[in-house]
Amino acid sequence: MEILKINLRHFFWLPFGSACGILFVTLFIFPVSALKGAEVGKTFEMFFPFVGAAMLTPVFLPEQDDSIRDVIASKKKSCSVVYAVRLLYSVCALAALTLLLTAILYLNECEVHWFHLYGGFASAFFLGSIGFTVSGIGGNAVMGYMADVVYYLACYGMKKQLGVFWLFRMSAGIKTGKTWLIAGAFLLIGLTFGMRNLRFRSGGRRGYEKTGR
Amino acid sequence: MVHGNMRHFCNRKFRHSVEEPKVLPNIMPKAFCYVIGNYSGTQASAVPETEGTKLEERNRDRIILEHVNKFYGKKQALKDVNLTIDQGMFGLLGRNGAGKTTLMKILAALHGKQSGKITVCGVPIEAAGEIRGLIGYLPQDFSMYPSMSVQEALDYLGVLSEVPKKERRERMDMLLQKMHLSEERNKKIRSLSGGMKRRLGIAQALLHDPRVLIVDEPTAGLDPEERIRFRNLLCETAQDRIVILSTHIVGDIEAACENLAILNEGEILWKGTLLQILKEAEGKVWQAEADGRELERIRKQYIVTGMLKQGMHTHVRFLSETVPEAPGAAALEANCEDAYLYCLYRNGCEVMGGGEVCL
Amino acid sequence: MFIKECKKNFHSIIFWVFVTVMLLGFRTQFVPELSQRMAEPVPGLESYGTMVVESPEIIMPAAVQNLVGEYLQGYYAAWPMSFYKKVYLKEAERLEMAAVIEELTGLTGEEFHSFTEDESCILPPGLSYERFRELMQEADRLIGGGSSYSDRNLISQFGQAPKRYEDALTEYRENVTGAALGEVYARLYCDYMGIFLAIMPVFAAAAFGDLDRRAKAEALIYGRKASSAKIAGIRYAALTGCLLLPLVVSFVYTVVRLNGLYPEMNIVWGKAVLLTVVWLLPELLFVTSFAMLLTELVSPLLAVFVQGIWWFWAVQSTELSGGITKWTLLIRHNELGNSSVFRSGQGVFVWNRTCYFILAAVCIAVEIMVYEKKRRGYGGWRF
Repeated sequence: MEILKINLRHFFWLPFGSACGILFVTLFIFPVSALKGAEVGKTFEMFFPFVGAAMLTPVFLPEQDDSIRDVIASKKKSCSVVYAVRLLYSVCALAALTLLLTAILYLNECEVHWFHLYGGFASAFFLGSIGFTVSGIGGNAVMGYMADVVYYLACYGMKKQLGVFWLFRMSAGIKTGKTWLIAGAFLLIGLTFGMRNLRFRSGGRRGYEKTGR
Repeated sequence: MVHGNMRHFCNRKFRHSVEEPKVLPNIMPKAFCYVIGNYSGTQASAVPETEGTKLEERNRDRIILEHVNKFYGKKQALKDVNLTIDQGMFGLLGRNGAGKTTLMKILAALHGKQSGKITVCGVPIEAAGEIRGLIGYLPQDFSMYPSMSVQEALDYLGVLSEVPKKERRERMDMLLQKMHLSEERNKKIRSLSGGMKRRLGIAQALLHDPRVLIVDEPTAGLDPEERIRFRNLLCETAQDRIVILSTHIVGDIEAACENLAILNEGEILWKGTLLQILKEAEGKVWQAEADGRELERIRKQYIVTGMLKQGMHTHVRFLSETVPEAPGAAALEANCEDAYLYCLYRNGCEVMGGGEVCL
Repeated sequence: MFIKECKKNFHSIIFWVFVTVMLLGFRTQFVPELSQRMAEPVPGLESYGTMVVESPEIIMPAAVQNLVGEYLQGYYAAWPMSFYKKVYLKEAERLEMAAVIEELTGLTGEEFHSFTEDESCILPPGLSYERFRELMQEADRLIGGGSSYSDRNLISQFGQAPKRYEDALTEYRENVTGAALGEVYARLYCDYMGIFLAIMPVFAAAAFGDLDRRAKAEALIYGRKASSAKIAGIRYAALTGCLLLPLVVSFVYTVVRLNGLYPEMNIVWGKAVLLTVVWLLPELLFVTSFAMLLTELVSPLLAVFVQGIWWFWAVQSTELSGGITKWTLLIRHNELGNSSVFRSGQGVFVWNRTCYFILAAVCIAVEIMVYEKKRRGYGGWRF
């Protein structure tokens, strides 16, 4: 609980502010009233997924500096616990923002359904998990954001290749298949934790460089 | 790098004064093998059971490394390291890149080893959680979240060390006072000076009252006053726990450590007490007054550990196995720096001495 | 120092990801256009596309028809700040709009309320084009601006006339000549590559701008003799130089493929190269310098965030062809041919790119100043 409180105080507000900024831009750019069918999906999918990127990609950012990471890692509580706590509150915040968008659309007489809420969250969660994975394994948040943007760009031209992991299904009128994105996100998150533990324990190439050799 | 009064170094191999350099076998003198304690598993099993029990109890206050190897890709960073570290200050000396930080990180359960066995106070290193509870670690470049205040940072690190709230508060107050940081407790980390940061580093490492304190190059970048203060602090801390001081600054070891080991290219080159290493260099340190060609000859022939230019002459301090062929050469008492360089030479290492003056 | 900085860039994963994304974008978006020649129009087709003409006979009935339709459905399409919005009018505004329509159609409210979609409006004989435009501006004001009836959109939206076979053939013959072909393809090339160039360099700039801090080498670099202008300037030059690499490769590939596709033509590449440089270089220079400035001033993450939003805004708001405005970061011409549309906005195009070129210079000058300040101990704030 104390880990949560301290992390919320120090590391939550900046990503959350960015995510709110993206939500605000979404409301500004996309229509939000009296929408029907695929139009609702567009508002949920065309820019909103970057809210997930803003929340999840910087989970590892505070320890990006190796010397801070070493201090934190030398403590009894595993680093993974800290990251899991941050991930948890980031996902909760993402869910809350998705709910907020849904409520705004609903109040503006759009035909919003539960699958929009679920689908919007799934797309944002998956895109965020890509940034989370790349920044976690690559050790650089900028790389994480780059991966988010590259994946997003790929969704424009590689619908077929991305298959069930294509982000814009609802915009194309497809109401199903979003569970794949959730599953994919969990898989990526699991992979990231596993890889980080493995690399950190073995020292890895970066660890080697840090010894000054 | 070696520090001396006058530091002039170049990459030249030490030459023996009379004959070609003797490349001594790269093995540790037998006499020093068990100076610090019996650490071999084989030996432990050879003693009677009652003795074995005693040994087991003793091992609960020790760090024991047996045949530890570590690779980074194809490069071997640690080669068959055997070491036993008892309570008190223990110095780990070595050049930059000798493998000290790797060893420290392995002991702090931050990096894994490829093979060998390590126990810290009787706990195998594989039990990382338990080990981290036993160990306080101050890394080479200590940093904390710049936006946190000193107090917040300590509190957070205390939470991660699972120190109960009440105890955490008490120890924080005590440590801040001891480290002379009470007045800075509300300052942001980003605004602390280098010395303050280091003291905060020690405070965080001691916050959970660890049985072992590992400090990696703690005095690098500190001013002389801070450095002395820091060493004294470590000595105080070492009264009731194991303190491992890893450094390439010989002066720190000389001032603070009774026991030491020298690490070179991943291997333990030597281990013993400070007195022993000094004794080994006894009669090998010389000083002569030289200038011009003579100075040039000395530089080429011996490992020069110091030079002091006074007027037209230069007082040069150097190492020689036998009485050197230098006019007016007089034997000097060896200091730790001389002993360290001599130890490297004796063990067949290429020694970087003051062979050429690079002004 | 320039070569050393370039080498540093070449050793970075982010740089190679940039190269890969640029080349992949080129491969998936533009290369398919190089697989077959532009088709010559054949007579007898149903449609040859449309072209924009300012003809009151075409514009007036179409616009009035649309306005009545929107009035009857109860909401209006608008693009304030270039983004689509549905606009609902309040009762007072609705009544004002009804008055506008009454004048435009010469009908009473009751009469045009009974209109159906299939019915077409007959304009009153006394309605002049000038008055029509005034009423359209009034309608646009009631909607809140940015509607189809605004001065900017009226002609392009309602002045669509069908192309005839002869028009299409003339355009084809204009485009498929040795002198014009290079430019025709270069426009589409710049359209696609410009989208990627408006965002991808920011990652490289942010990562490289933050390199010293991450390597804890700031103090080391600050203490060197070289001036801030030299350090920051050379780094900027090296980075932009390296980022040009995928553009050079992809452009050379385009040249080779097009020479193969039109072997009978002696394609003149000088103009195409010039157009590409004028189109893409200011964009690259600006995006890179802006990201470097924000990274130096505040944080690499802020650079990514700001540029990310700007890029998305630009992608969503820029018209696919034509519609070049003075400040849009992206310039688009998403078609082969239709050169007249591009040429009509050429003045604004040059103005726009010159502005971004100057802005890039300003950004880099400010960055040098910030760097110098930091060297003298005035730190920026970072998160």
